[in-house]
Amino acid sequence: MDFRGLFELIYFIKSLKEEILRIFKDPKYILAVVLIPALVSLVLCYMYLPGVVKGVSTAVVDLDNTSLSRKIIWYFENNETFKVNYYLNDDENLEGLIKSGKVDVVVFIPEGLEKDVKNQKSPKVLVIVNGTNMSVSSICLEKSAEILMTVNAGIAVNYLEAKGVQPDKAKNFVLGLPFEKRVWYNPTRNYGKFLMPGAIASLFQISIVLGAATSINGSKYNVFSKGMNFLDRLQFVIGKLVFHAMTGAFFLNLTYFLSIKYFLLGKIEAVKGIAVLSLPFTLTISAIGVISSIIFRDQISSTEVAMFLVLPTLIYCGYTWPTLAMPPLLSKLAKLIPLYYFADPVKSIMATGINKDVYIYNFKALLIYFFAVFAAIFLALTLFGRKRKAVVE
Amino acid sequence: MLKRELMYLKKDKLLFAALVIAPVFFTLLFSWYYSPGVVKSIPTAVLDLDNSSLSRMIINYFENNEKYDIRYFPKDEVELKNLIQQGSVRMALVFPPEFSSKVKKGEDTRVLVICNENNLIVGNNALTRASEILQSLGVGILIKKIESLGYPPEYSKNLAMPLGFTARVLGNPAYNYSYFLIPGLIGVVFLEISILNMARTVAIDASQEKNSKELMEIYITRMFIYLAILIFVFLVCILAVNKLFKIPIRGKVFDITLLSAAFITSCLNIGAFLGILTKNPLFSVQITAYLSMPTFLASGFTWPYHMMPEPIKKFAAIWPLYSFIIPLRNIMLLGSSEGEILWAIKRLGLISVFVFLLNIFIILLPTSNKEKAGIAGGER
Repeated sequence: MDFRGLFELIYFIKSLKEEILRIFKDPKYILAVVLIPALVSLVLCYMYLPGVVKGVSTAVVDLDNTSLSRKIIWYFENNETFKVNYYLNDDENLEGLIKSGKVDVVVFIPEGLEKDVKNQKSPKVLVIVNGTNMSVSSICLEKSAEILMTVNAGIAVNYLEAKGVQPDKAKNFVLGLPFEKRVWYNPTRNYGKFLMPGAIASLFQISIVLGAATSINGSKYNVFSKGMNFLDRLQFVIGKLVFHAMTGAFFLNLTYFLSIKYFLLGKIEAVKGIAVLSLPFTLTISAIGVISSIIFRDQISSTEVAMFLVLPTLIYCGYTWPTLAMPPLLSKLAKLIPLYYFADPVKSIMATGINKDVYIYNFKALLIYFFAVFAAIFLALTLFGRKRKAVVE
Repeated sequence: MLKRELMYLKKDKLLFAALVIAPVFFTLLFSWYYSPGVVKSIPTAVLDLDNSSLSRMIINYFENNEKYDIRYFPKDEVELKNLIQQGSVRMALVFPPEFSSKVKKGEDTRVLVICNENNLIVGNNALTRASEILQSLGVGILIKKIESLGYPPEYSKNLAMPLGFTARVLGNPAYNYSYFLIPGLIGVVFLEISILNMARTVAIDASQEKNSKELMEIYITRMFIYLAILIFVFLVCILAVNKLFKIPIRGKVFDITLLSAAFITSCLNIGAFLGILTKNPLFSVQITAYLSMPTFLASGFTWPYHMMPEPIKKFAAIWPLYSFIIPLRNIMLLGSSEGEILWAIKRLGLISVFVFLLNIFIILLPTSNKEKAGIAGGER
């Protein structure tokens, strides 16, 4: 590059220099933009390390007290989903036990259960579940049903054997409609693997936007001063945009790497694919912060507006609550959110690696998004070309 | 002071919007997102290599269940695998060759239920209902099989299902996601709004080097004004989700009011703490941005409290969300449990008193120790 070229890029270099100095001069900046998102991400990964819900506080009410009732209780005691903390002998206020928060599951075995089973009266075991936390109640019901189906099958096999049916044939016979569940992508149904790829992306988009939203209006250079022509302004803005996108991408990918390595969030080979996809994503988020910083003169307004634009997007983008279950209009709006093209794909890449078609589609979508926001920045620089007093002179 | 604060609120339209309009807007928006409540029409594929009356009957059951939308009939496993990998299909049923005849003969064979668990909400819904359908169809098949051995129908029925199972789900029997999540999301919105606005406005005053007495007066007056506004807005939000989105309130509105007052007071005190400590409105806004999502996840609201590691449990116990959103959901879905409400109010009260005293202590610290205000991102 000749000296003229270097001279032409002077505002790009000044812009980068100012942001680099900001890191060294202001420890609050490092705390808010780098340390908090990285640390919070890793702490949350640690929290989700067990992956599945276990040890749900359970009470057993056994009014039958026979070998069959004890067998049922044994199954609950030896299933890791449940932790039988209470053994009761009466059926008073069972729901109250749940409402008081002492237990989430009550297994009620009625009197005469074994006798009724022998007399083929088909008695019923009652399982009461606290349904307020669906993460807990769904697994408790599923496991309870599995336990009681197992007990049922055992009883039916015994009947058939008693009637002279061969043991092997009896086992296949009682299955009725045999089926096998095969779970792809997240076979253990691990909550950490489900939530954390998106939660990390969400935290870093906040950090990128916080940095970028204060970059132009907090600068000592007034981008709208007469001393800067349009190209100088553009260089300056691109400098800020690139800096926040690149630092954000670096720390985002470092956090993904650490969470995969130490918290087994996915396959380590996924890191490369995520790194490439993160570039258009961080550029887009940085551009959203920068445009807010251009439009709003004071840093608090630009930060608040940018913050509220990105903060709830983990909910809006269909990462947890799927777009197929959203009202039609909101389902369409979800596709206008950059996180839609990043969070879910990252989760898939971590679980199974890259699917080329899906990967290219998301990469292109993020690039288009970035160019659209960049075009808006271009427009804003043109429109706000009037003399504007900088916040910091 | 009260008059001054009210004038300030009247002038600052952005602050008024942040206190009044933003919580209502986000509450209604979140409720709208979750308004369908349950997941339906899960894209499903069927690979029927049996093509028997039994396999067609099972497919028919799935076609007639609103949970599933059978869109694809791939020719082979390769095509099916591609559909799942592309994300077009979330669940698949595979019937192996000679499935029907093997079932009748009692030979080993299985319907394969493949589930894409990339999204746990969709995956769990698909899998649970599929299990229910196949189990209930299985009982019917078993009854017929037993009858074919020469047993009378009544005997066959009891033999097929010797032990019944009844589940009673309290609070949310329909497994409605909006019932489950909305109380928590409203709590998060009010946490963010309370802390953000208190932190920002107190930080502005703290940075102006006002004397301790004046700053204390501003802090206390503002806290009461914001508290009154936010309790009112909170009740509007709760009643709106009840009326517009049919989220039940089975407990007493009075209990909700008391609990929300304790919660908002603790949040306002924490906001004031941030403002007084940082004396930097921008930095306090930046810190607040990180509070909602991580503290919601670590509140025991979705991932249960007993599963959390000890250090996070300790944090959750001193953070207002834990003592608010779970009791709030319980009041709304289960009805009130006085013991739980009193426990939550006591805990929130303790947080408020502790942070309030801490704030007064910091305000009364000698001025020379106070850090001069600065703007993160600027070079003042």
